[in-house]
Amino acid sequence: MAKVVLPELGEGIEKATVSYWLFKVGQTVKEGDEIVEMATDKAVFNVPSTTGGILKEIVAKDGEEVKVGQVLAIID
Amino acid sequence: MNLEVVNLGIISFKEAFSQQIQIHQQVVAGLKTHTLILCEHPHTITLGRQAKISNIIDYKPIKNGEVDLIVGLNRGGDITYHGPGQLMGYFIFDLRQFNRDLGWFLNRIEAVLIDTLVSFGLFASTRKGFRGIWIGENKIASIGIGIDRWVSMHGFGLNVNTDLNYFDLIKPCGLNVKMTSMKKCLGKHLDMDLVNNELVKQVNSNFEQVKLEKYIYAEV
Repeated sequence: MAKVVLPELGEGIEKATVSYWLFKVGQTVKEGDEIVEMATDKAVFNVPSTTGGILKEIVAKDGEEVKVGQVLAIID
Repeated sequence: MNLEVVNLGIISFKEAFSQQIQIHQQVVAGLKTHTLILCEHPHTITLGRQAKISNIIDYKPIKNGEVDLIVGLNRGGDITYHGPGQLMGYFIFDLRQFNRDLGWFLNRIEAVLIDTLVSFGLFASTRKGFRGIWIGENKIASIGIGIDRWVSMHGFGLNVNTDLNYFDLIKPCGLNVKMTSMKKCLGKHLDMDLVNNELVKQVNSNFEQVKLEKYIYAEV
Protein backbone atom coordinates (compact mmCIF):
# COMPACT_ATOMS: atom_id res chain seq x y z
CA MET A 1 0.00 0.00 0.00
CA ALA A 2 1.35 3.45 -0.89
CA LYS A 3 0.25 6.98 -0.15
CA VAL A 4 0.27 9.68 -2.82
CA VAL A 5 0.98 13.04 -1.18
CA LEU A 6 0.96 16.63 -2.38
CA PRO A 7 4.60 17.11 -3.45
CA GLU A 8 6.85 20.06 -2.61
CA LEU A 9 5.86 22.95 -4.87
CA GLY A 10 8.73 25.26 -3.99
CA GLU A 11 9.20 28.80 -2.72
CA GLY A 12 6.21 30.11 -0.79
CA ILE A 13 3.60 27.52 -1.86
CA GLU A 14 2.33 25.51 1.09
CA LYS A 15 -1.09 24.36 -0.07
CA ALA A 16 -3.26 23.64 -3.09
CA THR A 17 -6.89 22.75 -3.74
CA VAL A 18 -8.16 19.58 -5.42
CA SER A 19 -9.75 20.56 -8.77
CA TYR A 20 -10.88 17.10 -9.77
CA TRP A 21 -9.83 13.48 -9.86
CA LEU A 22 -8.80 11.98 -13.19
CA PHE A 23 -9.27 8.41 -11.83
CA LYS A 24 -12.05 6.76 -9.83
CA VAL A 25 -11.72 4.49 -6.80
CA GLY A 26 -11.19 0.90 -7.99
CA GLN A 27 -9.40 1.85 -11.21
CA THR A 28 -5.90 0.64 -12.01
CA VAL A 29 -3.20 3.30 -12.19
CA LYS A 30 0.34 3.01 -13.49
CA GLU A 31 3.36 4.68 -11.92
CA GLY A 32 3.56 8.19 -13.35
CA ASP A 33 -0.13 8.37 -14.36
CA GLU A 34 -1.49 11.79 -13.52
CA ILE A 35 -4.30 11.04 -11.12
CA VAL A 36 -5.51 14.39 -9.82
CA GLU A 37 -5.61 18.00 -10.95
CA MET A 38 -4.71 20.54 -8.27
CA ALA A 39 -4.86 24.33 -8.26
CA THR A 40 -3.30 27.21 -6.37
CA ASP A 41 -4.52 30.77 -6.91
CA LYS A 42 -2.03 31.23 -9.77
CA ALA A 43 -1.35 27.77 -11.18
CA VAL A 44 -3.00 24.52 -12.16
CA PHE A 45 -1.03 21.25 -12.21
CA ASN A 46 -1.46 17.47 -12.12
CA VAL A 47 -0.04 15.12 -9.51
CA PRO A 48 1.26 11.77 -10.76
CA SER A 49 0.95 8.48 -8.91
CA THR A 50 4.23 7.43 -7.35
CA THR A 51 3.39 3.78 -7.75
CA GLY A 52 1.26 1.35 -9.78
CA GLY A 53 -1.81 -0.45 -8.41
CA ILE A 54 -5.49 0.00 -7.65
CA LEU A 55 -6.73 3.39 -6.49
CA LYS A 56 -8.08 2.26 -3.11
CA GLU A 57 -9.10 5.52 -1.49
CA ILE A 58 -9.44 9.16 -2.44
CA VAL A 59 -8.50 10.95 0.79
CA ALA A 60 -8.73 14.55 -0.44
CA LYS A 61 -12.04 15.18 -2.19
CA ASP A 62 -12.81 17.73 -4.94
CA GLY A 63 -12.60 21.27 -3.59
CA GLU A 64 -10.60 20.26 -0.52
CA GLU A 65 -7.53 22.30 0.46
CA VAL A 66 -4.43 20.20 1.06
CA LYS A 67 -1.03 21.08 2.57
CA VAL A 68 2.30 19.97 1.07
CA GLY A 69 3.02 16.44 2.28
CA GLN A 70 -0.64 15.70 3.09
CA VAL A 71 -2.11 12.45 1.70
CA LEU A 72 -4.22 12.73 -1.47
CA ALA A 73 -4.89 9.06 -2.17
CA ILE A 74 -4.02 5.51 -1.25
CA ILE A 75 -2.88 3.06 -3.93
CA ASP A 76 -2.89 -0.67 -3.19
CA MET B 1 19.96 26.93 -21.14
CA ASN B 2 18.58 28.88 -24.06
CA LEU B 3 15.45 30.94 -24.49
CA GLU B 4 13.53 31.32 -27.71
CA VAL B 5 11.08 34.21 -28.04
CA VAL B 6 8.31 33.91 -30.62
CA ASN B 7 6.37 37.07 -31.40
CA LEU B 8 3.04 36.10 -33.00
CA GLY B 9 1.71 39.64 -33.37
CA ILE B 10 -2.11 39.81 -33.24
CA ILE B 11 -3.50 36.28 -33.23
CA SER B 12 -6.76 34.69 -32.05
CA PHE B 13 -6.68 33.08 -28.61
CA LYS B 14 -7.50 29.68 -30.15
CA GLU B 15 -4.66 29.84 -32.69
CA ALA B 16 -2.17 30.97 -30.06
CA PHE B 17 -3.41 28.18 -27.76
CA SER B 18 -2.78 25.53 -30.41
CA GLN B 19 0.73 26.96 -30.93
CA GLN B 20 1.25 26.73 -27.16
CA ILE B 21 0.16 23.07 -27.14
CA GLN B 22 2.53 22.21 -30.01
CA ILE B 23 5.51 23.93 -28.40
CA HIS B 24 4.60 22.46 -24.99
CA GLN B 25 4.72 18.92 -26.42
CA GLN B 26 8.12 19.62 -27.97
CA VAL B 27 9.51 21.03 -24.71
CA VAL B 28 8.14 18.04 -22.72
CA ALA B 29 9.88 15.72 -25.19
CA GLY B 30 13.13 17.69 -24.83
CA LEU B 31 13.05 18.71 -28.51
CA LYS B 32 12.74 22.43 -27.86
CA THR B 33 14.23 24.90 -25.41
CA HIS B 34 12.34 27.26 -23.02
CA THR B 35 10.03 29.37 -25.17
CA LEU B 36 8.26 32.66 -24.53
CA ILE B 37 5.38 33.52 -26.86
CA LEU B 38 4.46 37.20 -27.09
CA CYS B 39 1.23 38.25 -28.78
CA GLU B 40 -1.99 40.23 -28.62
CA HIS B 41 -5.50 38.84 -29.03
CA PRO B 42 -8.67 40.25 -30.56
CA HIS B 43 -11.41 40.83 -27.91
CA THR B 44 -11.66 37.58 -25.91
CA ILE B 45 -13.01 36.57 -22.51
CA THR B 46 -11.36 33.48 -21.02
CA LEU B 47 -12.25 31.42 -17.96
CA GLY B 48 -9.97 29.10 -15.97
CA ARG B 49 -11.38 25.79 -14.81
CA GLN B 50 -12.40 27.13 -11.40
CA ALA B 51 -14.06 30.16 -12.95
CA LYS B 52 -17.69 30.99 -12.42
CA ILE B 53 -19.62 31.82 -15.58
CA SER B 54 -21.72 34.16 -13.42
CA ASN B 55 -18.73 36.54 -13.43
CA ILE B 56 -19.75 37.54 -16.97
CA ILE B 57 -21.91 40.62 -16.47
CA ASP B 58 -22.81 41.50 -20.07
CA TYR B 59 -23.32 38.75 -22.67
CA LYS B 60 -24.35 41.00 -25.56
CA PRO B 61 -20.90 41.43 -27.21
CA ILE B 62 -20.36 37.66 -26.97
CA LYS B 63 -23.74 36.91 -28.57
CA ASN B 64 -23.15 39.35 -31.43
CA GLY B 65 -19.67 37.94 -32.10
CA GLU B 66 -17.66 41.00 -31.13
CA VAL B 67 -16.01 39.15 -28.25
CA ASP B 68 -14.85 35.49 -28.27
CA LEU B 69 -15.57 33.29 -25.24
CA ILE B 70 -13.18 30.51 -24.16
CA VAL B 71 -14.02 28.35 -21.12
CA GLY B 72 -12.40 25.57 -19.09
CA LEU B 73 -8.74 26.56 -19.52
CA ASN B 74 -6.02 24.62 -17.70
CA ARG B 75 -4.62 27.67 -15.95
CA GLY B 76 -4.88 29.26 -12.54
CA GLY B 77 -7.11 32.26 -12.10
CA ASP B 78 -10.77 32.93 -12.70
CA ILE B 79 -12.15 35.05 -15.54
CA THR B 80 -10.33 37.68 -17.53
CA TYR B 81 -10.48 39.80 -20.66
CA HIS B 82 -7.87 39.91 -23.43
CA GLY B 83 -7.79 42.36 -26.31
CA PRO B 84 -5.76 44.62 -28.56
CA GLY B 85 -3.10 46.57 -26.67
CA GLN B 86 -2.78 43.91 -23.97
CA LEU B 87 0.59 42.15 -24.13
CA MET B 88 0.21 38.40 -23.63
CA GLY B 89 3.27 36.43 -22.52
CA TYR B 90 3.07 32.65 -22.61
CA PHE B 91 5.89 30.91 -20.76
CA ILE B 92 6.55 27.40 -22.05
CA PHE B 93 9.38 26.68 -19.66
CA ASP B 94 10.77 23.33 -18.53
CA LEU B 95 10.62 23.43 -14.72
CA ARG B 96 12.56 20.17 -14.55
CA GLN B 97 15.54 22.44 -15.27
CA PHE B 98 14.55 24.77 -12.41
CA ASN B 99 14.40 22.20 -9.57
CA ARG B 100 10.63 21.75 -10.19
CA ASP B 101 10.15 24.87 -8.08
CA LEU B 102 6.73 26.19 -9.06
CA GLY B 103 6.78 28.90 -6.35
CA TRP B 104 10.11 30.29 -7.54
CA PHE B 105 8.90 30.24 -11.16
CA LEU B 106 5.75 32.25 -10.31
CA ASN B 107 7.85 34.72 -8.30
CA ARG B 108 10.18 35.18 -11.30
CA ILE B 109 7.24 35.96 -13.61
CA GLU B 110 5.96 38.54 -11.12
CA ALA B 111 9.45 40.07 -10.93
CA VAL B 112 9.68 40.27 -14.74
CA LEU B 113 6.42 42.25 -14.86
CA ILE B 114 7.34 44.52 -11.94
CA ASP B 115 10.80 45.29 -13.36
CA THR B 116 9.34 45.97 -16.81
CA LEU B 117 6.83 48.43 -15.35
CA VAL B 118 9.48 50.08 -13.15
CA SER B 119 11.66 50.65 -16.23
CA PHE B 120 8.77 52.68 -17.67
CA GLY B 121 8.62 54.68 -14.45
CA LEU B 122 5.66 52.84 -12.92
CA PHE B 123 5.88 51.69 -9.33
CA ALA B 124 4.30 48.24 -9.56
CA SER B 125 3.98 45.56 -6.89
CA THR B 126 2.19 42.42 -5.83
CA ARG B 127 -0.57 42.74 -3.21
CA LYS B 128 -0.84 40.34 -0.33
CA GLY B 129 -3.89 38.14 -0.72
CA PHE B 130 -4.50 39.22 -4.30
CA ARG B 131 -3.29 37.81 -7.61
CA GLY B 132 -1.51 39.69 -10.33
CA ILE B 133 0.47 42.93 -10.46
CA TRP B 134 -0.86 46.20 -9.15
CA ILE B 135 -0.24 49.93 -9.43
CA GLY B 136 -1.56 51.11 -6.09
CA GLU B 137 -5.18 49.93 -5.81
CA ASN B 138 -5.52 49.13 -9.51
CA LYS B 139 -4.60 45.91 -11.26
CA ILE B 140 -2.39 46.18 -14.35
CA ALA B 141 -1.47 42.55 -15.10
CA SER B 142 -2.98 39.11 -14.48
CA ILE B 143 -1.09 35.86 -14.03
CA GLY B 144 -2.35 32.30 -14.60
CA ILE B 145 -0.16 29.27 -15.21
CA GLY B 146 -0.82 25.66 -16.12
CA ILE B 147 1.78 22.94 -15.45
CA ASP B 148 1.71 19.66 -17.32
CA ARG B 149 4.54 17.15 -16.88
CA TRP B 150 6.59 19.94 -15.26
CA VAL B 151 6.40 22.15 -18.34
CA SER B 152 4.47 25.40 -17.95
CA MET B 153 1.84 26.96 -20.21
CA HIS B 154 -0.09 30.22 -20.23
CA GLY B 155 1.43 33.17 -18.34
CA PHE B 156 0.36 36.79 -18.06
CA GLY B 157 -1.66 39.53 -19.67
CA LEU B 158 -0.20 43.04 -19.22
CA ASN B 159 -2.40 46.03 -19.99
CA VAL B 160 -0.28 48.30 -22.16
CA ASN B 161 -2.78 50.20 -24.32
CA THR B 162 -5.83 48.03 -23.49
CA ASP B 163 -9.30 49.61 -23.88
CA LEU B 164 -10.26 49.18 -20.20
CA ASN B 165 -14.00 49.57 -20.90
CA TYR B 166 -14.08 45.91 -21.96
CA PHE B 167 -13.31 44.84 -18.38
CA ASP B 168 -16.78 46.16 -17.50
CA LEU B 169 -18.18 43.06 -19.25
CA ILE B 170 -16.83 40.87 -16.44
CA LYS B 171 -15.79 40.79 -12.81
CA PRO B 172 -12.04 40.40 -13.52
CA CYS B 173 -10.59 37.35 -11.75
CA GLY B 174 -13.89 37.15 -9.90
CA LEU B 175 -12.97 40.22 -7.85
CA ASN B 176 -14.52 43.64 -7.82
CA VAL B 177 -11.26 45.27 -8.85
CA LYS B 178 -10.47 48.27 -10.97
CA MET B 179 -8.14 47.56 -13.86
CA THR B 180 -5.60 49.99 -15.21
CA SER B 181 -3.09 50.15 -18.07
CA MET B 182 0.33 51.61 -18.76
CA LYS B 183 -1.38 54.04 -21.16
CA LYS B 184 -3.72 55.24 -18.42
CA CYS B 185 -0.96 55.56 -15.82
CA LEU B 186 1.49 57.35 -18.13
CA GLY B 187 -1.09 59.37 -20.06
CA LYS B 188 0.24 58.29 -23.46
CA HIS B 189 -0.03 55.48 -25.99
CA LEU B 190 2.97 53.14 -25.84
CA ASP B 191 4.80 51.44 -28.68
CA MET B 192 4.14 47.70 -28.19
CA ASP B 193 7.55 46.74 -29.59
CA LEU B 194 9.24 48.92 -27.00
CA VAL B 195 7.36 47.14 -24.19
CA ASN B 196 8.00 43.71 -25.79
CA ASN B 197 11.73 44.37 -25.96
CA GLU B 198 11.93 45.59 -22.36
CA LEU B 199 9.99 42.55 -21.21
CA VAL B 200 12.35 40.14 -23.01
CA LYS B 201 15.29 41.98 -21.42
CA GLN B 202 13.71 41.49 -17.98
CA VAL B 203 13.03 37.79 -18.64
CA ASN B 204 16.71 37.45 -19.49
CA SER B 205 17.82 39.13 -16.28
CA ASN B 206 15.26 37.54 -13.91
CA PHE B 207 15.86 34.01 -15.22
CA GLU B 208 19.64 34.25 -14.84
CA GLN B 209 20.27 30.73 -16.05
CA VAL B 210 18.54 31.38 -19.38
CA LYS B 211 20.14 33.20 -22.32
CA LEU B 212 18.16 34.64 -25.21
CA GLU B 213 19.07 32.59 -28.24
CA LYS B 214 16.50 33.50 -30.89
CA TYR B 215 13.83 36.16 -31.34
CA ILE B 216 11.43 35.15 -34.09
CA TYR B 217 8.70 37.31 -35.60
CA ALA B 218 6.08 34.85 -36.81
CA GLU B 219 3.09 37.10 -37.42
CA VAL B 220 0.27 35.25 -39.17
